Amino acid sequence: MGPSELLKWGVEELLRKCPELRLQPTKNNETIIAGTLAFSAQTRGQSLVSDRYEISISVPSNYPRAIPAVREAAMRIPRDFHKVDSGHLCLGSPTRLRLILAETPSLHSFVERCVIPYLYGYSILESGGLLPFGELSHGTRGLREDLAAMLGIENHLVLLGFVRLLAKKKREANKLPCPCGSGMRLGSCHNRKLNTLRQKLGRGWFSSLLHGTR
Amino acid sequence: MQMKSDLARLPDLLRGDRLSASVRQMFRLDLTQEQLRQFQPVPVSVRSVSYAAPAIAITSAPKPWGNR
Repeated sequence: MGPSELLKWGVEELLRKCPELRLQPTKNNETIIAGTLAFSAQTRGQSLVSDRYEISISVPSNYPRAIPAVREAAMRIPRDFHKVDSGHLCLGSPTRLRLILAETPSLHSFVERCVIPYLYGYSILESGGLLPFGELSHGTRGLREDLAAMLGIENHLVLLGFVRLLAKKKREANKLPCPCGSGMRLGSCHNRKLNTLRQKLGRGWFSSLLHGTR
Repeated sequence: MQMKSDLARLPDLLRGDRLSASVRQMFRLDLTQEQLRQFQPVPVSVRSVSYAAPAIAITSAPKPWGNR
């Protein structure tokens, strides 16, 4: 299935499953889906939340390689919550969102796994509770925190070593010492976790993280 | 006329046994029987048929981030 077919199929599925969302007419090839997103959601240890938000989702033509931009249209969520300068919602670190899209590329999955948890968390916060999934620091610090959680590493220097190996070809990286300090080469140590991440996101992604272009 | 009679039948349908519980839960029709009977203009606030989303269990989620 080609990218345009995948997008068309994804839009149709999303509109079918979220009947209060509509495809918006646009002048260019942009795909914008807007309307009311109604959800009932629950996570462990939290109460069931049923809520509705006015949103618009701008889906890039190269989806799922690029992440859709989501805006909350009714200005219920203040700017000082997790939003970017353009006003779009900061649903998560780009690495995490890309990983989710690589695992489940459907647009509806993106809404269920990224958009609804964000809105669910905000609904809980609005009613006086704490964010159920926590939050990342803003900027590069938050990116490091999320990568550290993904790899199960706390030391930032070790993390940097892993990112360097993620930016290299698998064959080349596996011959190098594992940054965890075990004394073994990567191919006999933390290779599986790194191979999975490299396979799903591509080494170019990690190279761009290293060089600060993301 | 057809629309009028269809609308007039709705409250009975929604209350009766003809619709399963799950179908009734999916749609909440905010029209009073009296308003339907008289077929008078209904205020916008009570005219909507709203969609009740199925509940989802969130097992893991990305943590909100910010680029500022």
